[in-house]
Amino acid sequence: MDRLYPTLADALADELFPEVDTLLRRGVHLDETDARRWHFLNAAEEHLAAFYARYGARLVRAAEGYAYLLPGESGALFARRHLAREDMLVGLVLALLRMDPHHLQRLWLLDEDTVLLALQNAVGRGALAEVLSGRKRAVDEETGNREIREAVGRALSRLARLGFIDRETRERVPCVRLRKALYRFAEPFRDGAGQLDAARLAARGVVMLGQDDADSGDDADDAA
Amino acid sequence: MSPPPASPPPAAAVSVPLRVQQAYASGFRLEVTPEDLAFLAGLALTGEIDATTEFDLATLMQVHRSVDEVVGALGGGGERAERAVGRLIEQRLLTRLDFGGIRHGGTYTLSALARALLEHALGPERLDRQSLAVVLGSVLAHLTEIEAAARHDADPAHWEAQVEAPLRLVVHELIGAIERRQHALDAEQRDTRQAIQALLDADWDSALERCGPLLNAAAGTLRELREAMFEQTSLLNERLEAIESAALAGGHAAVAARAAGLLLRLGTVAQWCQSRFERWGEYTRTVNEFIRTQVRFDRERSVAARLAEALRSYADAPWALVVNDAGQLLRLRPEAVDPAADAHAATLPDEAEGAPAHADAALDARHAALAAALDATLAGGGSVSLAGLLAASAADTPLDLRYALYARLFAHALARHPQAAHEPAAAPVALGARLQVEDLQLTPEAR
Repeated sequence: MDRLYPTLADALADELFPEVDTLLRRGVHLDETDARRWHFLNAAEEHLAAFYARYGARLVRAAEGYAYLLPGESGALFARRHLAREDMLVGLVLALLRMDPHHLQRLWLLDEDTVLLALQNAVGRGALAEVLSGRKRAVDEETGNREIREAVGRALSRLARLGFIDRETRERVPCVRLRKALYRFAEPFRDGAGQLDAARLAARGVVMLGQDDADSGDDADDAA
Repeated sequence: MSPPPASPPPAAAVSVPLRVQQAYASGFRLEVTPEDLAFLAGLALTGEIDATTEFDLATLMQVHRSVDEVVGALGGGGERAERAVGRLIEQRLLTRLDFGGIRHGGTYTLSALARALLEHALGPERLDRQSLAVVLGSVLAHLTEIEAAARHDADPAHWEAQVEAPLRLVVHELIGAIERRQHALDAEQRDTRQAIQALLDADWDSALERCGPLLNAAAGTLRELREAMFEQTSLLNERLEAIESAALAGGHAAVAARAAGLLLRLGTVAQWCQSRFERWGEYTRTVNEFIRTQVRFDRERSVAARLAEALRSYADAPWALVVNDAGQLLRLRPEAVDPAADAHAATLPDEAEGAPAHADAALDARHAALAAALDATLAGGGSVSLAGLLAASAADTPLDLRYALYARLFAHALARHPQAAHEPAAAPVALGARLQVEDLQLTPEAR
């Protein structure tokens, strides 16, 4: 039993609960960057986990130091969605960068051009343009580059809203700070051989294999 | 020795020829022999050992003899030593502190020029607790004397010799010595970070063990500097503020401004100590966290390799993370929409299956008008705000119909204009007293 919050009622009575609860329900990933909320989450974790379990959701505390609320499988009361393709591509490359010690010197602060370049190097410009714009061929190179940049920018905004990164401007240069939650993108490849683990995680509702775009981002419209 | 000229005017106000003429006309020449350099190095080290920045004449003689014993080229004898001291003063390498020979024999200190020469010849001066304490102690001693001199309501010559000149020459140079050491320490820390980077590149398993001492040594130095600065800052500030007040009261605006400037520089030094300590702490935490996480997560670095491969083949084998999405009560559409691929999902019921059972003629008519306006605006190259369009055209519509209209217009926009750039608004927009919607900004599709 936690000393700060002996009962669930004590945890719910804390003024931080509404904020943390709202963020978790929106799919936001929390970590120590947000010290007050993180400390509350840690202190009340046992009660909150039991609380959300009643909604069929799981409060996940990753060993890398971040937490999020995972919607349960069928029968859960919370709405759920999966990330769009461009968010996945950008998230995957950000996870790669977060695992590279070269970016440690600047405390995981990268300018957005570095992200774009890493993405192009990893995926290939043609494939990237196809995935991000939905067209086999760009009308012209300038338009293609602009579409890629805009799509990456929108993906970064959405990933920031979910707590995977922070966006900031340093000396007028748009930058991203990579947060621990990016390790979620590497989770399927942690043990075994990649997609095998993704399949295991898919069975647990952590990821979705393939991308049924008609269903993109919305698995339960009617749940609150 | 003549004092250095007052602060020069801004560079833009001086022409190159004028600046060159000024430099030539100053007549300053620098001839430093290896013997002079050895003498200066001996004085600097003596100051470090004795924890002082000042030397009386007897000390200068003693150091000269000691250096001569080592180098064997200075030529012994008090007369030669005095000539050496005179030469260093002429070349502005030694500064006499007692301005006008108040004390018998004089008191001397190494000038900024001498310290810069030594740094160039021997490497940068170290900034550690001991060296900082010595310099700060010396600054405090001088400021105490200057403050006492400033309390005398004396003539301008007294202020120039006993207050302004020591502030301008001695204190200015001593604080400059701290600032030079700061640059050296910054460079040292850059080297440490690069060494840690090399260790992390080489071997994660032993990185924590080997990085630890490097990180701790730098953190220890910064902690000591911060403490040394903290101990002295308030005393130094008190002295400078007292000098500033006395100068203002006596109508010596230039002295007051100089004291204020030194206060600012000391504040900057203190801030530097604090910020470097905090930043190094953050860097240490980040390194330790990375090592712990990465060694645990990906000891063989195979996860990163598989992740890179998955990224390359993503288009062929896509997958997606699932996230909770239960907090968006006001949103009619999720954020993660792929407009192009979502076209089928957004197909209107009346387009696919005939008119919906609940439709009525008024709603259909309004919807058709709004949809036509939307199509025409986009076709004409304009941008459309869905909420704006509805607010302008359907203000008189009952709230429930307005809600239904917005939903149908939203679906129409996604279905008919999948290639348009869709930007969800940052905040909900009010469409009535009890209705808020997430606005959608559409800009024409690229062709």
